[in-house]
Amino acid sequence: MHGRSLAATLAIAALSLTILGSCVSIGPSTMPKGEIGSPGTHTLVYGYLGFHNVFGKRPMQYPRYIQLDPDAEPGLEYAIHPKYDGSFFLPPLPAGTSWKLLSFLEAGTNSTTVYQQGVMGRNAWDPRLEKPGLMYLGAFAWSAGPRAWAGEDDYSAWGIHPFPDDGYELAALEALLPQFAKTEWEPIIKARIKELEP
Amino acid sequence: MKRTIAAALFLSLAIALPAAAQETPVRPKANEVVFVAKVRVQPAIPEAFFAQYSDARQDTVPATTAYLSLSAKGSAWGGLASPVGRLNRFGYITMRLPKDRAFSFPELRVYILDNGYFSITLPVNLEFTVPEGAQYVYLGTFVFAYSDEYFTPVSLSRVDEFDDALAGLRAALGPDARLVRAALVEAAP
Repeated sequence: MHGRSLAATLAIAALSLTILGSCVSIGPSTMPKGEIGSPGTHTLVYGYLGFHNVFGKRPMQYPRYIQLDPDAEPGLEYAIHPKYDGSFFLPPLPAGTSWKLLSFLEAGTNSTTVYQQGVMGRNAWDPRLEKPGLMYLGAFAWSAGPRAWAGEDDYSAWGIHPFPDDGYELAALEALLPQFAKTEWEPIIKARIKELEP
Repeated sequence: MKRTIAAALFLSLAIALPAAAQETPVRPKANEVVFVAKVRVQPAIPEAFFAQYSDARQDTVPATTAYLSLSAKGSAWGGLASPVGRLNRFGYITMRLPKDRAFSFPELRVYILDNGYFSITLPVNLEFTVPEGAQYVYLGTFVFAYSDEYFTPVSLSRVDEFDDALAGLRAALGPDARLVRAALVEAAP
């Protein structure tokens, strides 16, 4: 049944993408207004979240994170895509809290598929914020795996897969930097960019 | 085209959920069977924490609910789940008996505060055949233990509370009620 429903989902997704063309809404591109948590107490999570299929590589649409530690404040945050390239970050969040990717969307013109991830299990893309400062989460995409997707007919292989860092960290930092101009984060981000630059 | 697919999906869901969950047992019809089960989660789910995510417009927060994916073996509706009701108490699921009396039981789920976003999905990958003449079948008491805020699984065990289940059944239906244990086996791949 899982394979069958996934096949239906993929068929709808394929139709949606064919009709929609390249540019779909992927969620917020800037941080919510208000005070930005300090690098001394907060963690800035960033990385790459994509949606890869036979039509190409796109940003994951509306990835939404939930805070799961019952001893901390509840929280729901959309990942922010500062550019249309899959780079994302979460607004600086209190260190010590635990976040999990709760859902993302595949929105078409007439239908929207919600990919609910549930609350069980900590995956590599579910950050537990152990300490304040920068935290590169990694590069992940809904796909059939790091290499093959065209011609892939084993639907059970579809899921969120990690990708080796192929400049994703640097791209994410460069994309988010303008939103942290003149904040305590700016020198920290610039220092990390300098480390990564070839 | 997509609307048609969406409508068909919705319709199929509506049609495919005939299994009724009861918190008190009822007498099945001749072509039906009642499954008895209970789900426990240890430690207790921090429901007050999750209630903070609930829609403030709701007057009451729904109870955390367990669901069993139960279907006639080979049926196309294998992924659909029937509610067994609240945690820590016996629930009763009435289903139609297929001709071969064989059922698939691929997974069980717990929806915290009955919210589909807050789901815990536990594969069990079981199947069984209802014995001839059985009206009430005890599937077991399933105990899910987890270790941290991510509900990282520690174990999923099946505990036998047959005597309690039988007592509950007889209290509701009288001393003639008969309950049998399901002979669960691992589903063939």
